[in-house]
Amino acid sequence: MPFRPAKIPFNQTIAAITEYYFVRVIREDTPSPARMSEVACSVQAWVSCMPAFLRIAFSIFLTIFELYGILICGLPFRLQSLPQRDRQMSHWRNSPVKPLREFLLFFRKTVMFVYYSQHAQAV
Amino acid sequence: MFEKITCDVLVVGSGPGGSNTAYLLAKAGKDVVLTEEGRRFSAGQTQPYSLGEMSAKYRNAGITPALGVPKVVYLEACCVGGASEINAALYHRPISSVLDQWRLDYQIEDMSLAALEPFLASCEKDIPVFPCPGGVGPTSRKIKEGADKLGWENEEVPRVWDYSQDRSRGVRRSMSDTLIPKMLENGGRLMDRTRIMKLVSKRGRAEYAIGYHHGENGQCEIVHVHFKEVFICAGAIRTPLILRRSGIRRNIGNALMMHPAVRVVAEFDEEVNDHANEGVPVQQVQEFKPWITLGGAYCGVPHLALWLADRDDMPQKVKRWKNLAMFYALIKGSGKGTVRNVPFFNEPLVRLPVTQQDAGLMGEGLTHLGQLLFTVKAKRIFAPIRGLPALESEQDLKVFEEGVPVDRTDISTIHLFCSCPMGEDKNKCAVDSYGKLHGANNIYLNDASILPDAPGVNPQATIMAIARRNTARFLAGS
Repeated sequence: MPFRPAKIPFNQTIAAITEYYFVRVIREDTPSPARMSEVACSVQAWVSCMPAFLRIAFSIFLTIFELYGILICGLPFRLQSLPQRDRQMSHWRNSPVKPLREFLLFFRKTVMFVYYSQHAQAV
Repeated sequence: MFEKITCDVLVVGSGPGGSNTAYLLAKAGKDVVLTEEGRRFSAGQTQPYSLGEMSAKYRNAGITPALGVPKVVYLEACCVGGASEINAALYHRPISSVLDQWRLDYQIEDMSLAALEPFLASCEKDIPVFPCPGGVGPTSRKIKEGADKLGWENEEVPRVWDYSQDRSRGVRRSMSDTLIPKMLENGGRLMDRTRIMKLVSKRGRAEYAIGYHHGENGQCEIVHVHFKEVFICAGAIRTPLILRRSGIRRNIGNALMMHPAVRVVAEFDEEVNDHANEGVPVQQVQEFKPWITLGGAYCGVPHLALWLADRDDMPQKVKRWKNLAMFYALIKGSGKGTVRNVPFFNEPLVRLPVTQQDAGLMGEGLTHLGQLLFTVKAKRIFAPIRGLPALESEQDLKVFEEGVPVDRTDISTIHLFCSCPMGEDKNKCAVDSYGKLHGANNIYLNDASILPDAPGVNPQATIMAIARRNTARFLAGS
């Protein structure tokens, strides 16, 4: 069943966060770029199904997330190297600001659910 | 594009409440139009509990959090058949003492188990309600074994399920497979992909509903459905939303309640997960009802990954999925939330508070669940509380003595009700004892929104029986 088309900006940021979890959490033995791209597309599409006012809030968080990357290493998250991404993710994961932690947790859960929905045979 | 439709009775929403209402009205010879915002799916078109099903049949693909502390994730269906398409289809008759309490607290006429008995019996005649003839699956057996050892009352809850072709797995029989075809046979009309936005009244009487119909090609047209009477059965969130948009606000959307559920993943030495054949485990612990229900949840690999996602060892755990099963403690919530329109947005703002009492009950529920699981030799239990390490013995359950920390606990629900409660007490009730809106001539509500309080059991049977009772009263009056 195809998802409705994505309406949310920052698709590249969403893809970059998906890629990060792919590399750092899922850790496939033989990572496949096509598989990663497929999961990222589904995550983008799923996020686009949010109620509109949540989507707006989500877009604001994505903006802050990109700006934070520029602030700490001069590059938005999607253009960072893996160690730089580790640093930014660590900052947000351990942030005293709860919504920032929740934002990442939502992403992490979404990526895991989508990945194992599409690739349950991988386990 | 614009379309005008006329009918005797408009029924908005095709879930268990709306389907029963529309079927009985059509059977009685009324000219009925049943509208549903989502689309119609044939049996087997989507894989149960899959990402595809969430995209197709759930509102917002399942991303519908309520605001508050904590954020409670609630799930709503958006397809023909409503919640009966996505729920566990567990059919649990209402608890007699709960109905008696409702009668007293909300001054509801003729509300008791004895009064609902003929309507429950007629539901069970029209839809297949059976226990599994081939025996329950391994997760259910664990619940039974644990509860039996602890001396707790437990039972297999029958489901709205057809086991005639397959005695073990069977197939779901939702409203779109059962009552909606019967409604169509009796001359009723179904308009799927039609979102009713609001009612328009003239001289104190609702005359027509305004909505949008989305065609197969994506084109959208405005529809006006003119009616003599209207039943709003769009569920505990959408029913108050439509009414509030129509300028009807008295006791509407002010007392939304739920059954909050907390889930745990338990790990065993032996294989306990056969989700492909077992589906939703059907065994429940009744010992602590109506306040606490313990049971098993559907546990596919993606669901495990979702619930264990914040653990770094999740990929390793998921590889042992056959040794993992998911269980829940579901409580009778006491918090009252709200449903409000948001200007310029289609979606409502939903608030679902979790009270101190709820937190205590969830802690008690998790303690009982942990006792049961350790009794049947669970190696460890992963609780839905962020930062809490895995529980490895009954001693570890002491963390729940003070209740759960609601700001760190993942709470979800699929059971929502009470947003427009029924009863003769006009200070707190939106509709009378039979679903007729107080102060209105021809507007009726007939779904989960009119339950005055959390029923403490899977609510589908209660909703259907009350819908039938109210429809019978309406037909007798007309």
